[in-house]
Amino acid sequence: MTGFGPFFTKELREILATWRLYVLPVMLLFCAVASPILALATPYLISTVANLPLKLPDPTVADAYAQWTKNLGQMALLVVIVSFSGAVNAERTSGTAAIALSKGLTPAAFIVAKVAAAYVLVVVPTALSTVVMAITTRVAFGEAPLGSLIRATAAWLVLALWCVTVVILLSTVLDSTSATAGLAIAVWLVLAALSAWGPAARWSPAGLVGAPSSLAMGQDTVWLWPVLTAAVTAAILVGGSVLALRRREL
Amino acid sequence: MTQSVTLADLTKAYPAHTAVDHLTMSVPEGSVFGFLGPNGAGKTTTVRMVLGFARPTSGSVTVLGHDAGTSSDTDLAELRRRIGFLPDVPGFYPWMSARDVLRFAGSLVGVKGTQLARRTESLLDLAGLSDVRQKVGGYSRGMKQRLGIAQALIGAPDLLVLDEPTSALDPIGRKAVLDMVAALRGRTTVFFSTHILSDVERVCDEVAILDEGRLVTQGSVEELKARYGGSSRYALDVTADKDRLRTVLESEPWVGRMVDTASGVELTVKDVDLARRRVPAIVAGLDVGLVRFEPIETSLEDVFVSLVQRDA
Repeated sequence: MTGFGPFFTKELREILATWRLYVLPVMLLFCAVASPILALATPYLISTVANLPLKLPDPTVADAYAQWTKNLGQMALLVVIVSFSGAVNAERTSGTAAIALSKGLTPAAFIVAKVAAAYVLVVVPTALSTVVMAITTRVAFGEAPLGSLIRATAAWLVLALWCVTVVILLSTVLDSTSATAGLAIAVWLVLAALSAWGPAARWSPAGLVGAPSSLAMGQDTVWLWPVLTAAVTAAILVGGSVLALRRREL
Repeated sequence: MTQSVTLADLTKAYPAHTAVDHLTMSVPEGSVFGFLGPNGAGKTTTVRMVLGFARPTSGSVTVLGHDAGTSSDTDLAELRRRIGFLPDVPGFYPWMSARDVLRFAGSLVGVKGTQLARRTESLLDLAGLSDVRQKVGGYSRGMKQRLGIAQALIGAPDLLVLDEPTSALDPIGRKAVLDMVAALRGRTTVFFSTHILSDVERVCDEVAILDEGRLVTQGSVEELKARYGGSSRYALDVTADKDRLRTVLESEPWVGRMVDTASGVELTVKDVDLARRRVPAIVAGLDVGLVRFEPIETSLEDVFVSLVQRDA
């Protein structure tokens, strides 16, 4: 892990100095503000647009949380995938990886620093936007039970971090940033399809696809094994990335 | 003499071609070593194997006493901390300033605190970038190349590997880079890969010429000139009638290739003694004045062309 400290510091400084600081946090904050408002306005919008005489039930906090987890599971996850799809291959093709590795940085330190910085970039704005979501929900609905919100968001966070490790591995193996993003989205779609199959949802990271919305609604859901298997496979994916970078000729 | 780099029967083969073919050579410690070859000769592949960025198909590459081809990650990291490397196209983070680049590079090789601050300022000065405030993303190619050499020197390396450091520079940028390399003579070993012959002639003590992945020759610049150039090219200038002179010379068996010049010919002679006896007689026979008959000093370019010339 020679060189981890300086390279991790560089990664954090890069986040602060480039567009990466803004995209995911802005998206998450947008979701945090928009989800309760959208939930509040949905019955009115539906009745107005569809011009239906029927009266829809009043929106609740559960609707706001459902909207939040839906936004996280679609838009935010897509942004996570796209944001990190050039993490390794862009450094390789631009020649910055060669210079850093020529200074004694080991492949393991390179990959672990990349993953750690990516985790920081996902975890910190997720935590902040969860607070904003709670505040916005309380303002809109007069209450915001924290337990279900935190559990639902935490489940999504585990899924997002797992996706980051998939993207980092693909970015190490593939030369093209767009191919990395495309393949990572394909993995995500396969995972979403698998989540409909009981055993996969119970025993694998696929269970994390549906867990946030179930937890947001206060429903019981199997989350322990999906979280454990996500953690174990993420570690394997990081190891695979290190191995792939070591085997690649620069 | 201690060798900084020793390549023994080194081969790198890809499915479609062999980039480096049983290459055996060594780089003496403390020398400015020119690694010369036409484009596609295998220079960059060799450099990548020296740095451990590519694995040899066979043979060995020993750098500063370590086997760069088979070392573990940790050993390779320790070895690389003793090497300064400038790739042919140096990649920098565009959001960094030159000072950031040097501090980052220094921290990776383990230079810290006041030593890092001192070296950073001194190398910025050497690279002529002390007063540049813009980010690296806005640098010209020449500025990047000078910064590239500065970052390669931040760890005070025992070996400096420069891959085509001047190939895309204008004459002023080239001079600046060559001056920096020349200033390092005796302080570190410089492995200078290039296809620009005049650069090698200007700064290198010793040269290896590579062609199609194979070593063609190795020696000091003077040795190579003596060994391959000899003194077989002569300039012959006369006061008049150079066309008649050329016609006469064409029939002489000791005359090789001839090139017209403004007032005579430049000729390659096969038998120097015979040429020295016959030329004055031929000129006298034509009843013209002899202005000059003297050997042309062989350049490294002559040696290079004669060694790597291929059929058109």
